Amino acid sequence: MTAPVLTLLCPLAGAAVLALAGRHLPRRVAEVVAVAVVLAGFVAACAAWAGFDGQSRILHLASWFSVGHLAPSFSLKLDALSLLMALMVSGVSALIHFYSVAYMRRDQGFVRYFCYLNLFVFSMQTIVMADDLVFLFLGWEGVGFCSFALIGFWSEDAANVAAGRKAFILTRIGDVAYLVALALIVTSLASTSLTELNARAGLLAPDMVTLLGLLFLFAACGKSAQLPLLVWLPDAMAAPTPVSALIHAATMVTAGVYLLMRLAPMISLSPAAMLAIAAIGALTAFFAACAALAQHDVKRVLAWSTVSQVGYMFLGLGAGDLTGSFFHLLVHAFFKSLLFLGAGCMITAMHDDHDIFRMGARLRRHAPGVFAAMVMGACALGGVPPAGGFFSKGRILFAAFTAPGLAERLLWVLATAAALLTVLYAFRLVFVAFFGQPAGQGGPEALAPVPKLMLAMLWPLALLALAGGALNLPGEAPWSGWLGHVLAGVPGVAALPEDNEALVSALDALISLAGLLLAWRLWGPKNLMDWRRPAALAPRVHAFFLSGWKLDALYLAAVARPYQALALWLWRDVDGRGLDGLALGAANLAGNASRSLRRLATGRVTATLVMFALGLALILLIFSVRAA
Amino acid sequence: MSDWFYLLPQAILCAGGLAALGLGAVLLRPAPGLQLGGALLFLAAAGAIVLALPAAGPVLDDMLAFDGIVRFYQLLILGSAGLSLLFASRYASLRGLAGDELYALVLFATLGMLLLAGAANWVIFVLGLELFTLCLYVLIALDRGRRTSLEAALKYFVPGAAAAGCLIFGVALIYAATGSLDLASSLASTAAGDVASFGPGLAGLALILLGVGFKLALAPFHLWAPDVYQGAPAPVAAFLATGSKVAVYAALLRLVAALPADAWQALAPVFWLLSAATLLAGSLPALTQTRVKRLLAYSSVAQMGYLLLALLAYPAAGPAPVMFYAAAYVLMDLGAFGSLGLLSPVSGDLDALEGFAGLGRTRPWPAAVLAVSLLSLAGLPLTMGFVGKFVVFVAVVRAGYPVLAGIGILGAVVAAGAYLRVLGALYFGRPVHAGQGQPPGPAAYVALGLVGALIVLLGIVPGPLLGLLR
Repeated sequence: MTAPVLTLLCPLAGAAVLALAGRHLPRRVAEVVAVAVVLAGFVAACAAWAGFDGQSRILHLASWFSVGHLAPSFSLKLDALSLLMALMVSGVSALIHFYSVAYMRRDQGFVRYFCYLNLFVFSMQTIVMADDLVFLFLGWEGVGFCSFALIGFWSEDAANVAAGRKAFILTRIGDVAYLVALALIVTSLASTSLTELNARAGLLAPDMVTLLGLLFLFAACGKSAQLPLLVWLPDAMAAPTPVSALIHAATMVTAGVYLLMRLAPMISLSPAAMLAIAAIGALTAFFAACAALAQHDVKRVLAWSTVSQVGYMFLGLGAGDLTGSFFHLLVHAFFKSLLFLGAGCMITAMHDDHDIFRMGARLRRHAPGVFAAMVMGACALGGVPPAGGFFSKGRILFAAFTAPGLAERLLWVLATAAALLTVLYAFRLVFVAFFGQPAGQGGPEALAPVPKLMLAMLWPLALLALAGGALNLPGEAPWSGWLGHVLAGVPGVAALPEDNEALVSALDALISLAGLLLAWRLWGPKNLMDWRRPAALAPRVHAFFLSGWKLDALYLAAVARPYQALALWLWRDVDGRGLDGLALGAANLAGNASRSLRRLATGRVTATLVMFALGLALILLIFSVRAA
Repeated sequence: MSDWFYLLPQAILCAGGLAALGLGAVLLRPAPGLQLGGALLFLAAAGAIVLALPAAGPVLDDMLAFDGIVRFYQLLILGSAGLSLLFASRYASLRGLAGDELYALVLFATLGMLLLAGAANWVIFVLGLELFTLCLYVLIALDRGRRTSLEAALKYFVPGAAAAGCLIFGVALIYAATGSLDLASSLASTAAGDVASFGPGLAGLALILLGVGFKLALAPFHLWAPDVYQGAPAPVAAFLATGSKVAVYAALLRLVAALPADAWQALAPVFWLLSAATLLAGSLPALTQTRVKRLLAYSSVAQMGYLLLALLAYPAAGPAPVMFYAAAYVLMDLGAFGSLGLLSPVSGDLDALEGFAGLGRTRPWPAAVLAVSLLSLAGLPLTMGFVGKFVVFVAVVRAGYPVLAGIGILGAVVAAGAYLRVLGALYFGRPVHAGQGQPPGPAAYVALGLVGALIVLLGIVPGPLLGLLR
């Protein structure tokens, strides 16, 4: 069982080497170290998957500490879910590390960059494999820290640092719920093991299960950028693009939903918590799809789309279909990192310009490979059959459709509407960026070449994105439903009823094709001159969605400003005038007492002897009082 | 085993003192290394025997006690004497003070302290107390050429004579009341409830408390301390502040343990008042004190207050807090006075705060040990002083004296302000004159290393020692 441990420790070793000795290594050596450790982790993950016999087991590495009932340990839970997730994380990480070597070729801070990136992979694998909730929290905070450090990586610009801080604070708000849940678990079950928690959840009071489910949901909302904690992700696009691809698309933002999957056996005992998960997911999917439709910055389009797609995963999980949710998680990781890496190529060609309205047809002619990759990514994202996204998103919609309650049916309607918006914004991006005519828009004169290594990394991802549906094809054929078979032994996995599946799938296909056509009508090359028309028709609606439903402004007015005013009051009036005054007054009092007491020590022997007499009199007085 | 073996440590120290004097008679100028090595050898031999002797009840016609507590205190005293000599040897030879009397008197004083720590009889009690006090009078005046040194000796001697008179009169009263000189049985029979023995017994106890309070510098009997500590050579002050106090506390601990309940009822309020007064009278004046040796004198007064707190909690919490704090106190004050001596130029001990400016950079090692000792005195975590204060406060609160614990914490906060000023001078001040003071020499480095390492080590891992004391 050494392979899973190596998956975990290889990236940590790389981060340690880079942190301790990175400054003294030549650039090429540092890059090789960073890539090699992640590649080694991937090989180890492959070996772990190959050696997996279908039996879930817990690998106890070491005890951590023990205080009262709290005795966390470094233990891993190895089952189909965690090993597949580890495989995906290490594979995508390896590709993105390669890509980063080319993307960061001119940056001087490469040691810091690769150190954080390696540390991130370690932390993420900790989340994936940990069985102990405290150990898991170590990874949970680790990815948060690496995300913070990498969003603000180009720290010369204060806006980047502010974006990193925003991401950190908002995810920390979610973490509070994690800690509260942890405290509740320790006090009620005296164990921090995920397996124990799931096995003994039936012994807990139903209200307690609901409370725990909602607390973990809130924590997951922070990490996975769901309502109401989603505003950090669009700003997180200040990070270098490979970081956006790895952390803010493929892996870290899915950590929240992954945590809920691990807890599924416990949470599924509470219908209220399940419905809350589904509702948050569907609302977020719709909310973010609207916002994505209005963005100009290619990375912000993709960021909002990530929020929206993770919302689908929540919906699937909340509807009781862990398999579908995990299916979408895997396929999304492939197509979204493809789209981000493609966007990185576009940005490189455009000399760091992010605005899709300044790109246009010349970009297609300059980099046809990037164009092809982006089209494939958009097909997968928009759910155009037979790309991967069609099957995975379709499965989630079907799960929501077949769920028993009326509320789930309404959420299905919302999510289906969001699916239409998804295909619209996906192809708006493609059509505007690759067919538009950016005359007089202030873009660069000549486009820059795209490094071959960056292009090369697109193709494996494109293949996975297009063919990802093969992981879990519907139907009765021997090759269909592979993921479902593999995950069958994982606790919390339930099978879906079969009826009406064809009908819902046909509806999905229809919607995606209709959306594709509509996007062509609205932003296609035939409408070159008035491609801005939807925006121009309703400028206020456009501005509203561009700002992300003005949620930032709302938080600023309702939370941040009052908090700031309170802090100012506490600082100036309570601390400055009140407490400082009190402390200074006490210090003056002590100083005066000190000086008057020092006057007693005159240095004269008689003074000492007088005090002898007084002291003796006092002692005798007390004795006589007490003895009487 | 014959009872006489229990006198062996004392006999060895006596022989050592005589040998040191004899060496001075035979050799005109004995090598300082020979004197120091010989004295340390005798101390170590006495220590080894203290370690090896089995615990026993009162021996030698109930004159001496020898249980685990006595063994601990005797080892502490021997260690304090050894470390003081390590700090003192080069200090003394640079200043021409390293005559045979330094080593002989330290050994004789240690002998007196061991007797006091093990005293089970009032005669031994007085004998031990007066033996080491007599030696200390001379040690304080060791620097005969300096007016302040002589003045300090005189200021210790005159109240000391008065206190000794009171102490012996107190013993006489107790003897008159109970007809016994045995420490435990005389105290036990004062409580018999009959007025004839209880009244005079308590009066005797009051007089004994005065004598002991003077030795410990408990308020209000503490006014001699600033002058004496300031005038005494720094390593002598270190010995005076540590060994003698600890020996008296060992005797006081046995006294408290022997007290019957109704006598304790009368004594506890006195201890309460004395410790509160001592804490405040030690901590507060230190705050605005700019003479560092006087500051350390006040600080050691305050430390006596903490030890008295621990003693007050003894019936409820056992001897571990008072013993642990005694060990912490010995290390902290040895470190403070010892490194102060090493930092001082030959022309006179450093005293004014400005003299310490920048020494953290120019004399890093002695300054670091001084800093660690001060941090420990202030009770900061990761030092032994923190653990000691913590243990004492817990014991005091458990024993039901929350107000006293509050006063103690208040005193600690105020005193921390005083120590911080010295630390600030050491590390943030600009050096006034470079190259003052002499290199400490290997012996002092050993002492510095031992003291500094033990303060930090026992601050981080106090468990084993605390477990041993329980």
